[in-house]
Amino acid sequence: MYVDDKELMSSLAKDDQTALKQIIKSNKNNMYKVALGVLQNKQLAEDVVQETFVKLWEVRKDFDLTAKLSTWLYRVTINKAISLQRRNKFFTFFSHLNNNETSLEDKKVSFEQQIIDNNNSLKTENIENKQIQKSLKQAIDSLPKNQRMAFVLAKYQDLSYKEIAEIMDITVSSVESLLFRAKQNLQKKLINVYKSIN
Amino acid sequence: MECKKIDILLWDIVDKKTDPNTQEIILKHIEKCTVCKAKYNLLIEANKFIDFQKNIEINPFIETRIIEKIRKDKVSVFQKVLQPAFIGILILFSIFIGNKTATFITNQTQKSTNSITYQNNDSVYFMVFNSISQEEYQFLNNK
Repeated sequence: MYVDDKELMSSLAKDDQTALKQIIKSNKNNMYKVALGVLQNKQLAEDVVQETFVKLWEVRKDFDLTAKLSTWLYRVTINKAISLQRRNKFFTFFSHLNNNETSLEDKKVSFEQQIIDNNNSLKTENIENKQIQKSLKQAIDSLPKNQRMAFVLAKYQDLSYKEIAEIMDITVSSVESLLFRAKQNLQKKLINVYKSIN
Repeated sequence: MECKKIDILLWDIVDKKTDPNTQEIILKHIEKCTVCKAKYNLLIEANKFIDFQKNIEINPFIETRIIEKIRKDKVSVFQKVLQPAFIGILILFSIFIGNKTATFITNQTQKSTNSITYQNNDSVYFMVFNSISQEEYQFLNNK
């Protein structure tokens, strides 16, 4: 067992897979919650977590030992999740264009379509109201990048303002302001989306 | 309290981050005001959903997936480096061979062109007659 991040990363730099396993074990669920908060899709969130650990393995020899490992992992996870979401939006846009242009005889299920289907397939075993989920997803999606990051880190991970500030590389007061605006925007959008659904 | 002010504090009420007095006043208002109540309930539901998502655990096999992916990437990195290097060397070798062949062919053509020139020149007869090379002939000619 490794005691601290420094020891873990030093071992990882020497290609020690036991160290990697320990890092995965202690961080995977936290990272997953953050990715899920942004993407609202289990499969894509898993992919983001996987990509983040692979990235850590790639940079293991150049990793700054003074940096906090969990901060680095959160930062990479949330950035990867947001860029994946942006890519998905792009694919969704083009798949809509495609649907308008092509006829129904083309029954091939494209990659883009699979992403859209996956987005809609999040299981809500314990929650009956799927409309809340849909409106929450749309509302979170529509938030600006920084507000979304701050909101997800605060709500899904219960991180303190200081920790969020470290991850986002901004001041604590900026985090407060971002969170306030994120909540106000989310509230407005949630109500609008919910109204339009009903 | 006005609905506008409550709007600003609604998330904090849901998260129970306001002081108990404010919380009590706002909750009393929410009980009476249908608009604020609807908004409050919506946020409560959204919060419940977020709490539900917070309890979802990642696929237990993710660790194996990551290790496997890293193992595969190791091989592919090797391929990524070796394959272009091999192709590069092959291209350089082809250029080298092409260059050598072209030089050889050019020299051969030059030689045959030179011999044709000599045949049309009186100096050739002189060279043949005296059994001397072209260089020797030029040397004598210069003198």
